[in-house]
This record gives sequence, structure tokens and C-alpha cells, in this order.
Amino acid sequence: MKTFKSYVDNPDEDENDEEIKKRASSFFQNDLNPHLLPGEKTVTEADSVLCFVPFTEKKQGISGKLFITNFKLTFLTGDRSSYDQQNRRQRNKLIDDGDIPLTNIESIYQVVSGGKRKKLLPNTTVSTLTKYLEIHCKDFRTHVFGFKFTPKDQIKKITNAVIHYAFPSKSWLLYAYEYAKNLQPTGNGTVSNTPLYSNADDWERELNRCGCTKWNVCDVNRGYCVSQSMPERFVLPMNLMSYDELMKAASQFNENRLPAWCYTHTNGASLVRMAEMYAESELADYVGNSLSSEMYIRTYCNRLKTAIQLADVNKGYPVEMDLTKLCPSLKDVQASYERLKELIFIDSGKDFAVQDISWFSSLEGTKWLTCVSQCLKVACDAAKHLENHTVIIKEPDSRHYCCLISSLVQILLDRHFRTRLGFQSLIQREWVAMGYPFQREGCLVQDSSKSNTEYIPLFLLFLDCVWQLTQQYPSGFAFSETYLVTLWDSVHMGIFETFLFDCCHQRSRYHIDARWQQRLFLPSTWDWNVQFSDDDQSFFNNPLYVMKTNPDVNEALNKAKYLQSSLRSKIPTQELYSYELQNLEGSNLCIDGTKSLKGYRLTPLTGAACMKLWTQCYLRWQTPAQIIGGGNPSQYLQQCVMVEEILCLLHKIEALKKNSAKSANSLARTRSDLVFSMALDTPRTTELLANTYLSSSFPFSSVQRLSREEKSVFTPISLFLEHSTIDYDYSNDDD
Amino acid sequence: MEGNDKDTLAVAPGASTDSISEPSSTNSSKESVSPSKSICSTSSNSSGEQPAATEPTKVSFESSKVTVTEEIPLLPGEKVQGIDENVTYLCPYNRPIKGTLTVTNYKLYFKSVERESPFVLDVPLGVISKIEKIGGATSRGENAYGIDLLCKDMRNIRFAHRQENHSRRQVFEKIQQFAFPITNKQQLFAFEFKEDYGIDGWKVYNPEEEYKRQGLPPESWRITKVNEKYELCDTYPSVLVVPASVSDEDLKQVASHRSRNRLPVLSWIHPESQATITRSAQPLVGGAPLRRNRQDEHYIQTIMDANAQSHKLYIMDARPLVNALANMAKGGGYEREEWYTNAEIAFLDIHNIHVMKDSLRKLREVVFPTIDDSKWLSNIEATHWLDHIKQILAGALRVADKVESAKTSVLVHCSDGWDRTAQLTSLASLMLDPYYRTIKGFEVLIEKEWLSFGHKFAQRVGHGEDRHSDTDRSPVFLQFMDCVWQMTQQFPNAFEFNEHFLITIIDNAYSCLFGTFLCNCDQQRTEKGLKQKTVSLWSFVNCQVEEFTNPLYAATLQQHVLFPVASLRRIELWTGYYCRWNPRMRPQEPIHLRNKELLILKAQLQKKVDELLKELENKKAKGKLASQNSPPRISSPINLHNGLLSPKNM
Repeated sequence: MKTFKSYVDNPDEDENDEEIKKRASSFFQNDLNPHLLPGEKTVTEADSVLCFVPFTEKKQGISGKLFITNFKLTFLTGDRSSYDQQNRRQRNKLIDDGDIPLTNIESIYQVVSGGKRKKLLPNTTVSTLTKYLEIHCKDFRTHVFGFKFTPKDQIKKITNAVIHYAFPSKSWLLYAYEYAKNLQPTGNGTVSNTPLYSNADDWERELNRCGCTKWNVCDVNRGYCVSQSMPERFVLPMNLMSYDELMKAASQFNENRLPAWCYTHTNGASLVRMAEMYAESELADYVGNSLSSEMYIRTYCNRLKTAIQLADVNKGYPVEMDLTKLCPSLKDVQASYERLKELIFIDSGKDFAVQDISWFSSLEGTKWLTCVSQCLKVACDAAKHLENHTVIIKEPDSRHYCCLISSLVQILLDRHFRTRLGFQSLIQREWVAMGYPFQREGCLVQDSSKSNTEYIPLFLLFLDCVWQLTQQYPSGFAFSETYLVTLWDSVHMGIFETFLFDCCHQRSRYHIDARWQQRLFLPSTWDWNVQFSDDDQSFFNNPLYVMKTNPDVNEALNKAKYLQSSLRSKIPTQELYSYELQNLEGSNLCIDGTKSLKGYRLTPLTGAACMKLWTQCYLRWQTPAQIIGGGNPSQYLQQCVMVEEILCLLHKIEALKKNSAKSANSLARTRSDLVFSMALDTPRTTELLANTYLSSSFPFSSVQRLSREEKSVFTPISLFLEHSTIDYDYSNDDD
Repeated sequence: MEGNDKDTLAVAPGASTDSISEPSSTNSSKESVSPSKSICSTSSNSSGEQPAATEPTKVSFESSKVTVTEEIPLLPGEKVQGIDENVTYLCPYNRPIKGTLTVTNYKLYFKSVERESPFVLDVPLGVISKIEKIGGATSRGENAYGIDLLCKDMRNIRFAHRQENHSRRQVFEKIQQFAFPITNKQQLFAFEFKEDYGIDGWKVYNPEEEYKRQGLPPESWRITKVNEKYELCDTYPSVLVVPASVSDEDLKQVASHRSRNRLPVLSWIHPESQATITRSAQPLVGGAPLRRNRQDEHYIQTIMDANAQSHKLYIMDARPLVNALANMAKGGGYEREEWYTNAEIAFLDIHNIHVMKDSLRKLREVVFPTIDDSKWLSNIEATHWLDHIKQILAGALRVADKVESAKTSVLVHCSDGWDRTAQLTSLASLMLDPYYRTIKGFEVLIEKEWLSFGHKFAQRVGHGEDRHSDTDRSPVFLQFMDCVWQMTQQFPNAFEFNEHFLITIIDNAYSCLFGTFLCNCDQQRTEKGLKQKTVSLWSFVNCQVEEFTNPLYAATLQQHVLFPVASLRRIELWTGYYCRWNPRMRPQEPIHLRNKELLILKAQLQKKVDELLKELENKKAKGKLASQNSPPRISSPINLHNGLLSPKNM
């Protein structure tokens, strides 16, 4: 029998013995017991399970114990060599690297002896003996476990437990429920300052921010008495109608979803989302065949539309955009996502090489990039219309593309939504509050009574669109691509209220536990401290944006450009990028006054040929595609260093201008929120930087295939700081 | 992306331009022209909406419509040869535009003041591969009569003329005459171009210095002058590095067994392991009977022995095995493992120049003039261009990996050893040696592996010859530059140079403005006296390196070996080169600009700090010596080596 080989071949001379033990014990409780969250219970476990290293053709891996809890799948090992390379940079406080939250599981494949591979469906049980279990996750990672040495009774038990717990059939079976019940309430709910739009204030504030005077917050839906899928409060044209009339008008719309305000442009035109009205015949059924009452209700609707028109200061006729016709159908997106997954979920070097031959046509064949391009185009068109007209975007239930398009339009038009806070509030408002069915479309609950719903990755499509924008406007967004990927991963953590429910109504019901008569509380995703430390969060920030928005830097930059240009004119040298300069977004100069609030409309290229594959998100676990020592992260980190250096220099100049040695030291430098700004705060961070190797998958997956020879090509992150002129004299250390 | 500039002529004559004056298709909002822009675009009166405001004299010329010749920027040595004031430029991305076409002995220059902002098209004649007449005197339809120029830089340029009086004849003849001087028994413009950049680019590469830099161990390798008069091998440089124990007499024996006498010589040596990369042409094994040459076998053994770390040698034959076999019929072939003991031969499966040429032709159809959005990726795939790029990168990766990881020497050859071999040795060197990733180092690399070792630029590019379909033309060098670009994308801070540097080099391989890329080998260059009679491209580049500097270059960070990923997942089409004429493929906010801003800002702030410090010291010194003040302590940078940050394992 072939012996199973641990992937680090020579665990000999180990100067870091203590270190490793310490790490190991800090991650796991003693004797291989999983670390449990409040309310989390171990369901079953299996011994001597093999966890394979990806792309080693199931030839390398580590042996350990596989646990299933009501929250996660977790693999623990006593093999200390596996702690040897703790260089996955991003650490989630809630889960460890080997943990798979059940809500993150996308599909499960069973391979039986003989090699037959079968997808395990929800609400089924298996009787065959599993040889390998392949878990495909929504974060695009594949985990493969082998049960060659596992006791047979355990194999069956664990296989069926995975199916059962990964695909709960009722929403109260989700772990979040247990979690909430057992969580110590932390004061008054949210810690993040992202508005949740559950009260009128948040809406008012947004209206004011837009300078919108013709619309107001309306609580006609109090107690969800009009529409169950809409929030209790939303925004309608001012002084429109009585609640009674509004309710009648609502009855004409799908799911009683009244048209709702999304955004008002500086020019007074607004963006409105609207569900489809029932067709005449349907309506007739609805109001009991009485022609007069139908007419009556029609009148309300017309009044509603007129009110929307009047709420536009330009009084023009609103442009209606039918998103069903303009956007790819949900079915197409679904199918496209399925094909994309085929390219992503691979675990063998052979498959990798075979795919590579026709990579471009396969990628095109998924049509994913076409979907992205189409959505961006619709959003651009809508944004353009909004320069002159009020725009009404409509689709049957106004709960899918309305979320996506309205968010994109606002990002294109308003730089507030390109900040982290603005972006989060946008998602909270247009997706979460307005009732994007995260639970249903995310297949979090597999109700056997309903036909098996397929995963609809509309939110991923949205994030991909935003990512394309960040690529086209590298200094336009306050957040980095790492933030977007992390956000996507957070959607599947399964314990945040943000992405767990279909609508506000469902969320509020969930929060009230009937038996215990107490209000339950789940954290919001926007409270990032629940998951990540400050230095992990520093990777969410975009150095080029810091550069652009810091007024001191901006002033200095403009001076520098001027100086540079006056120098240049002496030597008649070419200005390389003059064309491109004209193409820039309004960029640097708009830091003052009202313009800074609104910024300029982004006009991205939307042709499918200009769309790129979001490699950091989709390919981060594909070991053979990892660029070791390179990739976008190396560009990112270098920008961080440079911005930090510039901030230091500015600080020095400031101090020097005060013209005294004393003040030079006594002025505290403000922090930039970038990684190297905090680098020296804790020894842990410093040590991490020195031991974390850079690759294109940073900060997500670790560099594998370590061999002594290859070490020469690894770049510890701390090297970025060597020879940099950053100084860390934040505080006053005056003698 | 780069080179959309009109004022290129004065300094960057190679970078031909085609400024699209269409209001940037993407940014139509009123805000798109902000006053700040002019701060950045210094001397530019170019591209689109930007009025030519920076140079008042020029503006007055334009407004008063003085004769055309006065407006044309001419290079020293450049003369106007013909002017046609009634020509229409048929831009594939815009409406036809009327203007004046001027032909000089170096370029064609089209200018239109028809629109608000002047439009200029400026193309060095060297870039033209073929000139054709379209339509006849009786052709119907607007703009059906004119000329079409097929260019080596992926585009076509089309002009329409009035149909009366054979109006295109003069232009056609002038272009024909000056675009193809060799065909017309004239001199290339490089011999007339007289510009002093203050730096002599011809001095960039000195072979002996370069080998010294590599650190030749004298006990195993020596520099030989046996080829000083190009008698041993006429396509090799005069300075060669060979195993120390082999006499010049033996070298002749070895050379006789290699195609065109291109015997194995040193290309690069690993500073620590002394594993080497050597290059040659194929051995002359032949068909039946097979020829064997003991000196060659012994010579290969000597190369292997020069590296004490390994008892093996890899022979990387760049060709597909079938091609190597086919070559046996023509007297060539490959090393047989039974004769070359301890050598292992591998075939890297890179196709020949004809396949590559055909692939580029297909690519051109896909990227120019317009692209099909819906089939973009599959169209690219069908050209196989990126497959070839991947194959070349993968081959170079294998060479570099053997040298670095296995500490084993590698001999690289193809058939003649001047196309695929040059690609592989130079790319492997680039992966292994950080020096070649600097601007100066890259210049040296091109001078060494491409120019001195006889890549036949004149033939592959077809300088000044009207033989568009010449089968010897092939984009071998372009492929290499594409591979380099792929590496710069994968390792954004490992290279000192930027994309503009690469494009400038490619453009000037065609432009015939500089002597650098002329001729096929060193011997010819010496005969023609290029160093004396022409200007080197590196003179032009090195007098303004900041233009070509990658702002993200982190010299200390990337001193290690680079192993790029040779997978199509990480290889992309170089749109900045292949699609640069298409305004719809240009980035909205180019990130390199942002990065450059960072660099400029940092430099100027540093200067400011230094000034202030000096000022302060002066004041102190003047102030009072009595108090004996020490200079102010401005928060000193932390010492990384002793401080918290000192990295482990370094």
C-alpha cells in the first residue's frame, strides 16, 4: 500500500518549534476539537480523513479529522507541519482556513470506488461508500476529502450529515437562528455606521444628501400592510395621495410593490424603480370584474406617474426602461454562471492544461463577460438619460435587475457611492431593504415543496460590474478589489443579517423568537470588525483614492504637475499620454464644494471586448495560475508604499515650514488607513509581513508548493518597506 | 495606448501617430475638459478637443493659415518632397477628413484644420509595407479613388484623392520612392538623420564589459577574438565566450558541424551555480548517412563540465520534433543522445517564422480596424497568436527553471539559431537576471542576444524594401517584445521600463530613423559604418529615461528569479500595442498615469524637503554658533535591518 505523504517533506530541523505549537494551539482547542461559535454544536465527525492539497492529483495532503457542526465543515489535523506555512494573509476571526461555513457550500460531489462521480442533491441520502468528497464553495474554492482510512460507519454518517446540514429545508434550520439566540446582545445593535434604512432617518438623510425636495419618506407600508417584500419605509413623491389611495394603487402592481425612489440627480431628475403593473385582464380578475373600479384604480396609477413626473424639476416626461428586455434574462445569467463554474471548479493539473488550450473560447462561451457588459451598458444608458430626464426602471417584481441597475447608475453618477460607506449604504438600500431575495436566490434554504431553485448569481454579477469599473477607473473608488472579493465571501458566511433574508419582513420575523419572547440580534456584514482585524481591513482601501482625495496631496500633486510641465517645455519632449489625459474622469480638481459631493459621471467602456475576467475572485484558488511574487497585489502594495512615503514627506514639509526642530517632532502625522500605515503597530503584524509571501492570490490563498529552492522567488511583504522612506514617528517622542 | 501624440516628431519620430479628433467617444460630458488638463499635457496640441494653447506661435500660424511647409516639424536632414493640398483621410473610426498631405524623405504628414482642433496624422515611411492604388479614374462613389498603405504596425491608412488629373500620382510616386529606398537604390533615412542627443547610445553595449559583469570564471570560460574579422562565423559577433579549455583551432572544427558555423557559445552564466545558457544553430547531422563530429560532442561535454553542480546538460531544441526531423533531409537535425552522453534533448514545440507570420496576419484582421465584440475572445483564439506567445514563454521558463532550480546548463538552438533561439535565450536571461530588467540592461540584452548574434532584422522587417510578401519577413522580434510585455504585466514592479519603452523600440525597429536595427548582423553593420554614420536608438531613449520609467519599479524587491505563469489565464492580448489605433480600446483612466503622478510627486516633495532642510541649516549656522545647536532631528527613517522589520530568511 502506498503511504500517504505529507506535503512538507522535511519536517527536520525546525527552529520555529515553539512558534508552530503556539500557532496551532491558538487556532484550535485541545485534542482536535473544533472551535465553536455561540450556539454551534458538533453534529458528527470522521477520523483519519485525508484533506488533499489542490492540484496534486490527490497525491499530497494531510490527514486529520473532519467535523460537521450546525455551522460549518471543519478539518483539523494534528500534523503540525501543516501550520508551517501560515501565509494566508487574510484571517477571518470567525472561521479558520480549513473551515467551510455550510452556507458557503454550493454543491457536493461524491466519488465512489470505481471512480463514479455523482452530485449529491438536497433532501437525499446516500447508501454507497464515499471514496472522495468534493465540496464546491460559493467562494470558488474546491475542497477534496478522502476517506480511504476512515471507519466505514463514519463515512456514511458524515456524507449524509453534509447533505442534510448544507441544504436545510426550512429557514429556521439555518445556524444563524441558533447563533442569534446564543449571542450576547451588544448594546443597541449595529456598530458600523452604515445606514440600514430600517428607520425614516436614514431615508431622510439620503434625501437631504441628494438635495432632493420633491420626494419624501412615506410609511404607508407600516407593519408591511401594503407589500411584504418592500421595506416599511421608502420614498415617494411629496404629498401624493392618501394612504388609502396609495394602497389601492399598490394593488395594481406585482407584489403590491409601489414605485419607489432610488436617487435624485443634482439636476432634479430622479431614478425610480417600479414593478410591473398587472395587465388589464389580470386586473379585471383582481378587482372583481368591475370596470368602474378598474378605471378608478387606473386613475390612481396615472396620478402616481404624474406625481413622479412633477417631482422632476424639469417636468419632462420620464424615460421608462424595461429591464426585462434590456438585461440578460435570469435564466441566461444562471446558465452562464454554470458554465463559468466549470472553468473555475477544477482540481487537477491535467484539466488545467486541457482547459488552457481553448481558454478564450471557453470563457467567451460562458457568456459571463457578455452579461457583465450588457448590464454595464444598460446602467450607462440610464445614467445618461438621467442627465435630462427622470428615469423609471421596471421589471416584473422590481427585485432583481432593479437592484443591480439602480446601484450601478448611482455609482456612475455619484462619487459618494464610490466610497466604502456610500457603497455599503447603497447595497443596504437598493438590495437589502428593497428586498432582493438573497435567501431564495442564494439557495440558502432548499425547500423540498418548491421546485429546486438554481442559484441566481445576480449579486456576483453586480460585484463583477463594479470590479470592471474599478479597473477602468483605478483611482475612482475608495475600496480595493480585495474588498469586493471579501464582500462576496461574506455573503456566504451565514450569520450576518444582511445577506440572509429575502426581505425586511422576513428579517423582522426572524428576529423575534416566538418561544423565548425576545428580540434576536444578528450582526451586520458592514460591521467588519466582527470578521477582520484592522490590518486585514487596511487591504480594503485603495491607495490611489487616498492620494486623490487627500486635499494636501492633491494640492501638492497639482503643483508638481505644473512644475514638471514647466520643466518639460524647455526640452521639447513629447507628452506621451495627452490623449488619455483628456479622457480622465474629472479627477483631481473636484475636491471642493458641491462638485466633490457629486463628482462626475463615469463613462466606462462597455464593449464585451473591454471586459476582463476577475481573476482575483475566480482564479485565486487555482494553484497553477498563481503568479508567485507578482500579480496585481504587488502593484497594489507598491502604490501603498509610495502614497505612504508621500504622506510622510508632506508631513515633514509641514513640520519644517514651522521652522523649528521642536515642532518637527511634535506634529503627529495622521494615518492613511493603508497597510503600511499600521505596519509597525504590533509585533504580530510585523512578523506577518515578514513571513507572508506575495502572489497574485494575495491575500486569499497561500503560496503552495514550497520547496527550498523555490524560496528564492518568494517576496515577503516586508520587503516593500525596505529602502522606503516611510517614517513611523507618529507620536511625539521628543526628548 | 501610447504614441497618440502629434508632437512626436521633434524627438520621437519613430512613434507614429494617429490622433483621433473625435471627442473622446467615451467621455462626452461637459466636464471632460478641465483646465487642469493642460497642466499635464504640456507641449501637446494633439488629440481631439485640446486646443493648441500651449505654444502661442503655433496657434498664430494656424489661424493665419500660412503655407503648409512652415508648419511641418522637420527633423535634421529631413526634406519635404511633395505636397498635396486636397486629400481626404479616411479614418476607420471617424468621418473622412479633408486636409493637406505632405511627403518628406522620412514621413508622411497629414494635417487638417477643417475642424475646431487641428488633426494630424504622422507616419514614418519606414512603417509602410505595401502601397496600393484603390479605385480608378472612373470609380464611382465618394472617396473611392485614392491610395491605401498597409503598415507593419497593424494598421492600414487610406487616403482619397480627387479624381481629376491623376491627382494621386505624385503622392503615390513620392511614397513609393521614399518608403522603399533600398528598392530604389537609395539610402535609408537613418544615414541622413543628424541629431545629437548628447548621449552616445552606441556605447551602451560593450561585450567584454557585459561578460565581465556576468562574472566569467576564468578557469572555465574565456573570451576569444577568433571571430574578430568574422571569419569563423559571419553572422556572429566579433567577441565570443567559449569554454576555456577549447583552443581556437578546435572551435573551427566545432563550427564546421553547425549550421552556418554558428557554434555553441555562452549567452549567460549563473553568478552562483555557474550553470550556463549557451546558444548555437542545429548540428549538421543530415539524413543517411548520419554525420558525427567528435569535436562537437567533446565541446558539448566541456560546456557541461564547466558547471560543477550538475553532471547533465539539457539541449533545448526550440522546434517541434517533426521540424527537427524534417531538417535532417536538408543536412541539419539534432543531437542524438547516444552520441552526446549525459545530454538530454527536449523539443520546445515553437513553430517557425512562416507560421508566426501567418498568425500575426490573422490577428491583424481581428484587431483592425474594428473589433467584433461578440466574438472577440474566440477570434483571438483562432489566430493562435497567444498560443505561440504562451509556447515561447513556457520554453523560456523551462530553460530558466533548469538553470535556476536544477543548476544545470542548457544549450538552446533551433535551425539557424537566430530567431527562436534569440527569443528563448533573451527571455530566459530576463527571468534569471534582474539587470536585464533595467532600461540599460534591456538595451544591452537586445544588443547582445538579438543584434550581435545576428537576428536578421533587415530581412525579418524588410527595411526599405518593396517586397511585402517576402517569405523571410516575420514578427519574431515583436513576439519577443510581446512576451516581455506579458512579463511586465505579471510582475508590475520588477521592470524599470514601462510599456511606452517597449512600443518605442518596436516602432523604431520599423522606422529606419536610427541605425540600431538596420542590417542583419554585426559584420554588415561594421561594413556600412552604422556606428559612425547613424544615430543609435539608445541615444534617443537614454537622454530622457524618465519617459520610459516604470513608476512602480521596486529595484530592491524583485532581485529574484521571475517565473511567469505560462497559461492563457494569465496571458492577455497586448491591446496597448495591437489595438492602439482604436480609440474605443483605450483605457478610461490609465493606471500608469496615476502611478507616474505618484513618482513625480514623491520626487518633488523630496526635493522640497531637502531644500527646506538646507534652509534651516543655513539659518542655524547664521543664527548663532554660540549655542552649538546640532542640526534638527527630523524623524529619521527606521533602520530596517536592525529594527523590527528586518525580514527573515533574507
